[in-house]
Amino acid sequence: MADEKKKNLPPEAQKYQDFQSKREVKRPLLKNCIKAFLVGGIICFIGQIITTFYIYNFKFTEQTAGNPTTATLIFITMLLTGFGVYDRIGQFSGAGSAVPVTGFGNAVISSAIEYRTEGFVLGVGSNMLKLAGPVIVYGVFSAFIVALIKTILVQWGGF
Amino acid sequence: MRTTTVFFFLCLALLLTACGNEPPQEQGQQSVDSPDITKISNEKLISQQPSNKAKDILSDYEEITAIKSVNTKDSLFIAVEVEHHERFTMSQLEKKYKKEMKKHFKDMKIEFSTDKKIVLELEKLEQKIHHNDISKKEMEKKFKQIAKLAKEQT
Repeated sequence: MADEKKKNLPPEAQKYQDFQSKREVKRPLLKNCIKAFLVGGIICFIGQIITTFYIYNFKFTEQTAGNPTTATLIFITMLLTGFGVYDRIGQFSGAGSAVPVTGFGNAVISSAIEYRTEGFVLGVGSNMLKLAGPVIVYGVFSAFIVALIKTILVQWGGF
Repeated sequence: MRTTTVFFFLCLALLLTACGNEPPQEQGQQSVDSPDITKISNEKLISQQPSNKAKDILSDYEEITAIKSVNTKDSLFIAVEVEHHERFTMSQLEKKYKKEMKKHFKDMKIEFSTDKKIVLELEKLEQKIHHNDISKKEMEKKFKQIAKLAKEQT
């Protein structure tokens, strides 16, 4: 598709694109992947420590310890975002810090901070879920679709 | 540049030696067919004979690393820990053990769990029964509490 698009461009633009692609700094893909893997792994490791802490010290089973763990991680993210630390982690590791639940927390909290100056209702209230809203919508929607497929398979297929 | 190379090799050496030494120790510790079980006996309370029998049967499975079990008059509660890589097939294993237990204890109600929390709680209860720290009523109450905890979903 990219090639087709290129053919429709005027010759100067094509020339420029060739010129540009030769001089473009290549993204360090492997390095980024490793960074994301390590930072994401560390976040999950911290999550596992918190889960184990809840299992040993409170009345939570492996099954039920997930909810308080998520809440704790989001609380920690809130503090880190407020103090401006999470931005740096995000810059360093990319998807490694965006994919775990901490990334979701960061998306909500940072936009809440950003729109604070526009007031609590029209600023924070209406803009807080600007980034995180789609995540919820598509999460719920895809869960619905999967549940529908499963129900159909179980009811009719007898799996 | 040189310092980083030296540092890298140092780290590598540390990592390799650390990994090279540990596994044999661990293997020695949990020699294949002796999972972490303690047989408990208590004459004053309810006899823990079914629990001990369950431990005997389950200890034949190599992948099980710890078995905790307590029984009341008509129900038996078993919690096991399996080797970590076996957790991928946990649901199948759980079914298999449950079936096995039902075959052996036909007239008892069987509760089965692989949850870490249940293992911990049953271990505490086992210790209490073993040291005679608990009355029959308290024991049955605790048993019910653990059974309820095991059923919690959220």
